[in-house]
Amino acid sequence: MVPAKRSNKWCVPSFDCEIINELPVKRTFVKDSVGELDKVLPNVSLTQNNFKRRKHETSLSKLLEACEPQKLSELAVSRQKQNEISNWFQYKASKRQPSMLVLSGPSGCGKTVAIKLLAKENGFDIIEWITPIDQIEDENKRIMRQGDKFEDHMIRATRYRTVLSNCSKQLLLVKDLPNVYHEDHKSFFMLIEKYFQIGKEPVIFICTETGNSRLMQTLFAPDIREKFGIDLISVNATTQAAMKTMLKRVSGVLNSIAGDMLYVSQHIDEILSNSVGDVRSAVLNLIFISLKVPERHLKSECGLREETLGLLHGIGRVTNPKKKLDGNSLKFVHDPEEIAAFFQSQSVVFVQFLQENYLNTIRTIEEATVASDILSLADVLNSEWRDRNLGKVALSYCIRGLMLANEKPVTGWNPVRKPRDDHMNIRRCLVTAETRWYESIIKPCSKKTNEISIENKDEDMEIIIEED
Amino acid sequence: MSLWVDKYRPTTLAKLDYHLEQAEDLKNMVQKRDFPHLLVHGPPGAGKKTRILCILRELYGSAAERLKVENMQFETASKKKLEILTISSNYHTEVNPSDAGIHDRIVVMELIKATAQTHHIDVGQKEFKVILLSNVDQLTRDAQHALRRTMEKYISTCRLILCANSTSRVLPAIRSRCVRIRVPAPTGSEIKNILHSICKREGLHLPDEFANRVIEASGRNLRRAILMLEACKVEQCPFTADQKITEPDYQVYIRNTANMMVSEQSPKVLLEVRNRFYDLLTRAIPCDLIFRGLLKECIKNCDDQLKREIIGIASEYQHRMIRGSKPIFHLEAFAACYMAIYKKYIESSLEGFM
Repeated sequence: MVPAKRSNKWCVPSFDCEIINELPVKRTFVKDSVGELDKVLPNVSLTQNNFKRRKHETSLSKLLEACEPQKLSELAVSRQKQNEISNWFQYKASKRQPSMLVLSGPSGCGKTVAIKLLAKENGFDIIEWITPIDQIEDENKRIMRQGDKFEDHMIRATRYRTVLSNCSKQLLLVKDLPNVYHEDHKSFFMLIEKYFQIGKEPVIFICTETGNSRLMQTLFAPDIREKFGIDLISVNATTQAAMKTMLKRVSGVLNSIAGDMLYVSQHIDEILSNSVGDVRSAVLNLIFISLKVPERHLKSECGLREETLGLLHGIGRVTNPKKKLDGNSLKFVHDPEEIAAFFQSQSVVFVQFLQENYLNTIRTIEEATVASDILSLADVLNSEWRDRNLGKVALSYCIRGLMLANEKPVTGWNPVRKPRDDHMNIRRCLVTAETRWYESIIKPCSKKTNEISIENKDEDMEIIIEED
Repeated sequence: MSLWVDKYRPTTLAKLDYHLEQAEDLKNMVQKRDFPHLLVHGPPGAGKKTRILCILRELYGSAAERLKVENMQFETASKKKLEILTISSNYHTEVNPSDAGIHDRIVVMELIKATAQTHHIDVGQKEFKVILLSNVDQLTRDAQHALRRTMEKYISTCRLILCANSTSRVLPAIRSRCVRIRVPAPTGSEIKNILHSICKREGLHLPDEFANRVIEASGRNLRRAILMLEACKVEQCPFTADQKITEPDYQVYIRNTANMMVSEQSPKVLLEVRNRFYDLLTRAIPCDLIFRGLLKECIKNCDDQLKREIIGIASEYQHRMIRGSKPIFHLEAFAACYMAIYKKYIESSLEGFM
């Protein structure tokens, strides 16, 4: 029972979804429940009806469903392929014999939709295998293997017909094979063999040709297909022309059912140029790109930071801290924590920049002492690799410390300078330094060549040192 | 023409000029054809490297002198490529792992593994190779731990000779796994003998007084003494007793920097001092040398109370420099701190004077 205080909005869409998506068996149940609801809360079903008549859909699944082709002429698959599939339905599948079809093609070229629509045309009911995520238990509560369950499904699912369907014939659709068979090819072949012995209804496998899937080479290799008489129809990627007509149709549909949310027309060409024969993604992109942002959301507060702070501005704010009077006490105009928040990911660089630039605005040597001590400690914290949070601590400490240490910043034009390279890669060694110096006296000529190429000098010197 | 330092370097243990007793012991050890890992330590310019090379020569003969310089590549865990210069003969590999900075652990481990995993097939040769690691005291703690583990693992195929200035920064675990050989700095008279013998072989006359002055300026660093002598020879060939001795330019530079700090204390001077520090750093002057030089000059005109304070600060910042990664931060912090203290001291003494 739905309590009366539940809002209509809440319950209606959920029923909407169920009615469309669920199997016919459930549909009756849902109808029942709606009926019950009718008795209890007549207004609920009223709004539901209203809702169905409404022209604005909001859920993505419903939008996508609306986009699905309803007629054969609307399919993205080419006419020729449609005929091939149709023929298979008529000549092979209708014979009440085990028959198998493999439909292959790139993702999003409309394989499944084509099969579903053509099956309906030819009076077939589709029973689809979906690999269960949970562990399957049989009636004795033992855990079944996926392969066994699949085998069971293949052989027996079509034995009994649903009472509710009005289609006379059934077929099995397998889109996702249980993973066992990707490894264990032999058991798959055994399964096919068993199916051809005792199976009844036609089976269609849909194989998506993606880069790493090699199903067509392993499970449905040519010799296997020949052995069992499996038919293969491969569908090509959707052509640009077909895509264009499809997108036009879809945009028409979308504009009519969700006109207040989407504004489609102008994006078609854009989508068209970006798609690579993938209808599904093209439609998704179309919906996404043409989403209208409601007026009230335009000025939303998402993204709490209105400004992004450049490195140089950040440095300026720290080295030249501005204070304002707040009651009786002075307060920083720019919150140190806020500045620190901007540069958390580049703590080391920021501290280096501060070190290079802090002296310009400092008035007395005492302040400089405090500031340099802070920087020195910050460097130690930054070099500590065992705790990554120390970088943030160092940054915050450094920014706060420098801002506080600088009582009366020197005003004036102080361009922010880049920190200099302090040549960490040079080998600091007394021996090197000493020998280099004396050698420059002893062999003045070698000094000249050294000056020309500093790179060489370093290398030469190191070699000489190593040999002594 | 090579420098005198290289030219007159003794190549065998028998030719060593001083610490003869120790040389004899080393010779005995090598002749036993097997020895444990060695840790050679002593002040700079005392002849550590010379002795190590003599040991190698004694072990493997002149083949150990056929050296090739090679750039070895290592890859860190984060896929960063490292290149390290190694000098190797067929029998030994020499590397300065502290060149790799914080990645020295990988260099130590990979190098030892690569060298120690292969045996010599040559019959009649030593069954072990030697890896020579210099500046072990500059290795990070991590690398030293790695060294300890690998040292034990590969003892059958390789021996390590470690070279360090001071053992205080070498892990006790490593110290206990090595035979420690201390090479003390030569005494004044030993240096004098060497200088005289070099001059004799070069056909020069060395006045006694001048020799004494060179020795004093060198601070019992034999390498520096020989380098100084050769530099003096270039400047003025027949030596005279009162000849000018060229000091290393960085020493003068550091002294001048310290004098700047003493003469005026303001952020502007600090900025200039910083520039001078950058100059020193780009010339590959070791940071602790800068610290030491600065301190020496700075405390010259202070009273004892102030000296204590300044030395305390200096040690604090030097410690931070070792822990941190940017020497300039700490040098500058020391300079600023010194200047502030000195300013206060001068002001208070002026007040007392008034």
